[in-house]
Amino acid sequence: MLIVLSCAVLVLAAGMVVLFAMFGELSARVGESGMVERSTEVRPLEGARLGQVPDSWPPTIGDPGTGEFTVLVLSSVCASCADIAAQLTEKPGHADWQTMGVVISTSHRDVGENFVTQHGLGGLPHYVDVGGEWVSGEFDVRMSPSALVFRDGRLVGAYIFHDVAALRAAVTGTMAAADQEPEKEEAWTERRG
Amino acid sequence: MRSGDWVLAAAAAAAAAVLVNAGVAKLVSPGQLRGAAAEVSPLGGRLLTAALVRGLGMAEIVAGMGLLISQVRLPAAIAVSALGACFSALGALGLARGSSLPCGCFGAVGARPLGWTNVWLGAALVLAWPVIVLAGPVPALGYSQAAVLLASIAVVLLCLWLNRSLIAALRRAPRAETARSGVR
Repeated sequence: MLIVLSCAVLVLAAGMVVLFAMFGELSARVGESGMVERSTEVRPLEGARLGQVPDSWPPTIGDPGTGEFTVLVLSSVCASCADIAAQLTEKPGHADWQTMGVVISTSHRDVGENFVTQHGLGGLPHYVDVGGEWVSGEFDVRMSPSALVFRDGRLVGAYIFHDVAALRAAVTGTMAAADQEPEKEEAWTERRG
Repeated sequence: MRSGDWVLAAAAAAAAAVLVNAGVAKLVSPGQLRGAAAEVSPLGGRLLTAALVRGLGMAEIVAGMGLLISQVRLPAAIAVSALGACFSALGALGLARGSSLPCGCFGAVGARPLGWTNVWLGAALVLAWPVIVLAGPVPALGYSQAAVLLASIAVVLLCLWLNRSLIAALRRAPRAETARSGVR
């Protein structure tokens, strides 16, 4: 009787192994297909508190300074975020983007730190945001991957993106346009005066 | 059963757990091992078809299960030792050629390339044949009952350990990801 019961338990255990193996394979395939279909679209993120100057700033993501600074918000559970992390670190990567920091939004610190280690983000300025408290509390941002663009420490733009190069081009273009606005205003004032 | 028989049953259960997990992984995901084999030996990559990898996986499962049944444990132990020698050789080849691709030895979730893990696990499995020969006869029913029960536990525990990152990601997912953008 005991041998029959043991065999039944062993069969169930083997069935569980099959399920996990199939789930792992599925997970790996979903990751691959996500990379193939990467979009270069950069969309504004609705609902973010534009104009907000944060009360606190994690020092490990770098100094926002007086110019432009971009914070990439990734999550430890989204497949697109793993792809973003790969874009940041794999050749040629974006290590030359000096005014950028990464926030990893996660439910537990060790999961976030695992994400950093697993995707080689340790070399970039980063901050593990447990519970997403900083990004949601300061800016009401609950989406990832997303990008928060600051100017003079003030949130001036929030975007959803999937391609870091496309985001970088969009941010640079937006900032160049913003730089020209005061010049236009000054010229207009001078002409009117 | 003597305490020595329990130790033998536990060792057989541990070996069976490794072989069942590895065998099932190869049946479900043969692609990664083929890729890793092609990286260390282009000829090996061509010869190692998906059907051959699945056949190897099935052989691992059968050999592992055979270790648990007292009547067939000696031929099963010979097969396990042969498989162990193959794993060790493949691991040594991976070390020599600087393998970098995940070998998929325990499924698509693992990221380890061919290397020291294969060498040591293979070496441990090679011991199956000499250990069973040296141990001599065991009480047939008692040994099988103990080995099958212990193997069930070991298979589940090893499976959970190997898939811990997948389980952690599922358990700790704070919110579901939308179609393309994850909601934190």
